Amino acid sequence: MVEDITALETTALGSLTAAEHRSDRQALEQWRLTYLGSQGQIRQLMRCIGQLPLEERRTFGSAVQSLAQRLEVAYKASEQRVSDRLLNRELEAERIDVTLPGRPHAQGLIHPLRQTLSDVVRAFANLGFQAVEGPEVEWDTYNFELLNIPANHPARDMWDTLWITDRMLLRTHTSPMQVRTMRMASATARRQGNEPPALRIVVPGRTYRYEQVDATHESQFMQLEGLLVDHQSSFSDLKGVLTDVARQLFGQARKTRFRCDYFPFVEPGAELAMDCFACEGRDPHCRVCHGSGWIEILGCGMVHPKVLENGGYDPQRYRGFAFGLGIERITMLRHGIDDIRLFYLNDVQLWRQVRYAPGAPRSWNREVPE
Amino acid sequence: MKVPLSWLRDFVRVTVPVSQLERLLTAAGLEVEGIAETESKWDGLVVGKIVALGPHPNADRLQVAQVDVGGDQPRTIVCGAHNIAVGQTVPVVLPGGHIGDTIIEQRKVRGVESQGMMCSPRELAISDDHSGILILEDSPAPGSSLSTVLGDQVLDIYVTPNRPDCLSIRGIAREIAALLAQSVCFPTPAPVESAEDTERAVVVEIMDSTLCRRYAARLVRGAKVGPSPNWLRARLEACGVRSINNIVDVSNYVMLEFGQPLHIFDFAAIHGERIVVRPSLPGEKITTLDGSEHSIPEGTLLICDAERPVALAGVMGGANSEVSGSTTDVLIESASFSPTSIRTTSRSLNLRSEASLRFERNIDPEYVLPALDRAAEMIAGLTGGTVLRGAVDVYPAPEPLRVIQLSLADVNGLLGTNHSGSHVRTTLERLGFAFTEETQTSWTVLVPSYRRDVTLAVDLIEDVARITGYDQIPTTLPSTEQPATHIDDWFAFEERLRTTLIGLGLTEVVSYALTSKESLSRLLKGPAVSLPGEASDALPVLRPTDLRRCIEHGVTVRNPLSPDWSTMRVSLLDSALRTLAANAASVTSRRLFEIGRVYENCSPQELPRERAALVIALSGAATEPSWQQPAHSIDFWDLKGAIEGVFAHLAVIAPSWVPCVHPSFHPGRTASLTIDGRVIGVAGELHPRCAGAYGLSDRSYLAEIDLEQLVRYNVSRDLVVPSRFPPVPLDVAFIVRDSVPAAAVLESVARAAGSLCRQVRLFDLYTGQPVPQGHKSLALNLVFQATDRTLTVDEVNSIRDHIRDQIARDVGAVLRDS
Ligand SMILES: [Zn+2]
Repeated sequence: MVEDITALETTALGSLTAAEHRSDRQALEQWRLTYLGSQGQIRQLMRCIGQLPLEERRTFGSAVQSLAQRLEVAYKASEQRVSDRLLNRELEAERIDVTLPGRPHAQGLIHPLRQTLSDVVRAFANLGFQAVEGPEVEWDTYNFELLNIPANHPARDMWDTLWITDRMLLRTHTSPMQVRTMRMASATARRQGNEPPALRIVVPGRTYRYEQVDATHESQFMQLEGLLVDHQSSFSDLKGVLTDVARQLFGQARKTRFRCDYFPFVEPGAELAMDCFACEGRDPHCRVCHGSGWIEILGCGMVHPKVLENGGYDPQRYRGFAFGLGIERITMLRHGIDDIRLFYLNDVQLWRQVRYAPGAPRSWNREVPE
Repeated sequence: MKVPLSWLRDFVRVTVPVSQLERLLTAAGLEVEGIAETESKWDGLVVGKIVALGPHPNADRLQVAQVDVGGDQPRTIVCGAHNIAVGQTVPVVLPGGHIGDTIIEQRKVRGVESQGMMCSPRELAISDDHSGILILEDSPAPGSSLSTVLGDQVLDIYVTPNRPDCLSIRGIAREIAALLAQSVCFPTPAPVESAEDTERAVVVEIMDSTLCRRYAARLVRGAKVGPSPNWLRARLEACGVRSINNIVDVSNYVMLEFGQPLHIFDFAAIHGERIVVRPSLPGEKITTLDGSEHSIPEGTLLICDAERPVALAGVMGGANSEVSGSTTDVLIESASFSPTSIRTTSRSLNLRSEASLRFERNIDPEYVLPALDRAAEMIAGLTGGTVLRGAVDVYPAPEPLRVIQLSLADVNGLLGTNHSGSHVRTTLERLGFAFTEETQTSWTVLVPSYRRDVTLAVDLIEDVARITGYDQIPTTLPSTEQPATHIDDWFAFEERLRTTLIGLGLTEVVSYALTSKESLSRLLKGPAVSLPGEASDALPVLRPTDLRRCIEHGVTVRNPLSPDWSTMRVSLLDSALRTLAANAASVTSRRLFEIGRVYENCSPQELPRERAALVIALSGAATEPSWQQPAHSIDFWDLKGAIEGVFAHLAVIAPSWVPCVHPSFHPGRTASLTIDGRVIGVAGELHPRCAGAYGLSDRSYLAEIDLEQLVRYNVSRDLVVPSRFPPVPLDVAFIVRDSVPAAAVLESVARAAGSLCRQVRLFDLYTGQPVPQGHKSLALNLVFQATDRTLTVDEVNSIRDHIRDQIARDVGAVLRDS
């Protein structure tokens, strides 16, 4: 009988190997039924136990048990290998060329000028400046007269103007909102019996000049005006605020330089330059600063007493500063564009190249020193 | 203003290298735009150091010097000047070299061999000085090239309109002196005069002293007109002025030195020996020096003789009294005119001159006499003429000097500095301000007449700041309490809208606000009928019957740069269509938007209305074509989907889409967007005639939406927490007549489905068998969900029955068996 067991094992394992080799799931199942099923050969051997002499039954029984276990293990391993092989074959059949291009998604983009404008507004908002807007078609009064630029003043040559009527024009700068905002605030305060409030505003918007268009001049462009009025602001505050904003926009390492300049509505007046972010003053052929190491970015100064007065603020008791910067110029610097006209051509191919740098890696220390 | 360094050195010691001078001037508000090296006219001249000096053996008035010029042996040079001493460095021409056109040879001078020549400033064409040899400062190395030592540099300085005093060498010299803590030295001109009295020889009369504040004149008789000497020509040329003759050159030279324009008349042409300064009469004419004839506008200030105009005051002289080769007696005019009058004249006649540039900036009337004297002195010296005694000087109302109260607290308060009183005072004194009264902390400051720009304490404070240097001011942040602020609601709204739109795959454009009526008129191709809904206060594009008038009466520029930029846009469609056309060839899928203003003219007494609008413009492929999906063309549903996407993000009532006709759009594929019966936008396929007018070959889909009206239709922004109970879907299909709009079916279903219905979505639209002719089948997917329980099938079925009955009543639809 023991010989029967050995012979059965040899035959069974042989046919299992054959079925596995063919990766034949049906043959495997057939094999399982043949040997391990309820009518299978193992069961038949078990049934023979009764015919054996009493003393052999125990030995034979455990030999059959152990054979059953071995066949079970062999079957499971075979079944696993076959199923792995079949799955891999299926997955292989699904292989794709991952180097093919992805499915395009419609990608929208903010116009670079608007992006700059909102970044600049946010930088000033961090310092408490509120964004307000004003009319583009303006009165001469607000654009010039109330800003200390009377008719026939030679300083008017600084702003070549597009005229609508004798008194109406396309604003040449966003500065008219200085007086508009101050007048509004001081009139409201007076009506309520209060003194005029402190102000911190920025005015983004379009401006217009009678200027022949070339790579560096536009006749329609965008500016951002700023105004701070309170009782004790000073030129040193002006330097601080504008330096802070230059650093927010162009990096914390930026240095600023103020030099005297003339605008009729500020006194003292200044022009702000920052050190070149492209070459940091080291490249004599720098495309950005042309080797000077400095980039002029805006005009500014302390609000002229006459302008304060025109806004309903007593220049004896109030001081303030104002500034105006060109959004195109800042945007040209950010994107390495050297032709201002490109902004209004709206060549979508160009805008699709706009990229913003990923943030710097976070720099917190996992281990903080005690 | 071109400023030669050599000329500045006549008045101030320049103790720093020119690169530092450039930085200082620029920082102080006198921007140096460039530095030009004058051509090296001193080829072959070298620096010599006098190592020995003795008398000439044969001539008392000559000396013999041993001069080290860098070679092995010193050179022996015979010299007639007596300002030299051992140890000094001087310019030397070696034999074979030349000065001007003269070649210098080695030759015996009274028996002593002279191996070269030492030069005076005049010989070097540096200045008029011929009193001695030019002594070179700072002991340059013997033998070095003179050009490197003396090479003149010309600063090109941009003078801002507030500083007419700096349109002169003297003015710039004064600034440099203050910046370098030096003092200036201005020689007082003193012409040698004859016995004849100027006041007897000529009469000056000012008819209008508001237009002419001061008029002074001198006469020089017996002048010989000829070419100017080299030094004078060299200086004028360095300043960019062409040399004409010795008389004209003097007037230019003195103008450059003092900033005071002069005019010189041929006195023989001044009829009646009389100068009358008066406003012009109707019909007067003059031919100016440049040869052009002008009809003079009435009221223009003229310089006349007893009979006729001889000059346009302060702008340009007349040809009839011009100095010529045969002129012998000249009248020099030095005057002060009203800036406004000069500006008006020069604008109306389109004549600009160096004189008008200075007069219109309001120059100092106190320079009238010094400049006049300097001119007389120079003309006498250069032409051999005789200056008559005294000047005629009509100055009806001399201006008193301005006085300004200044306190130290004002200075330090405005600047945020900690300057001492003495620093403030010294700085201002260097610029020529005088201090009359002084306490510990405040002063009464007397403003020199040439500082026309200084009228208030802040002007003085700027002077302190800029001469000290803005870099000396600290950098601080405002210490006052931050006013309560928030980003302007409108600005924030536009930002969010922009983010939504780019999320929908649209690219933002920014276009010119100026366009032309011709371009805008291309929008008017179809019939103009009113849009359904209330539109009286809507954007121009939403008022088709009024649109042509809005374009015709648009905000129009009187002096446009080009006809293409002459009118402010009344609609964003025009620029959007041009942008679509510009990108048609290069971009397959054009999905654009712009948020911008449109401008509508009101009465001339009011500013135009400027309102914010949104334009969406789609054309081409709906997505970029790809290897795994065919491109389908953008159609109306892409546009509608984008607009629905926008409104999905806005807390406003969603608009209704009402079929409409609009002159810019396809009559069968356009909707007026209305909320609460009010028109807020228009959307549709572009009219083929408009497409043709803009050169567009693909079908384009556009919408213009009034953003400022949306604020009226705010709805709650509160979020609703989604139900935790299972949703129950229900698909239903209705057969309805073709003429019934889908929206009517959807609305009726939504109303009937009631509050338990979370979604009504159309998922199929079908016509054809078995749907009867003239009918369509709409298949809807409804989702029901309660917030407090799981819905039962019975509940949903009863709702379905209610929908069936309701929709049959509302739109005659029949529920299909499912
Ligand atoms: Zn650089």
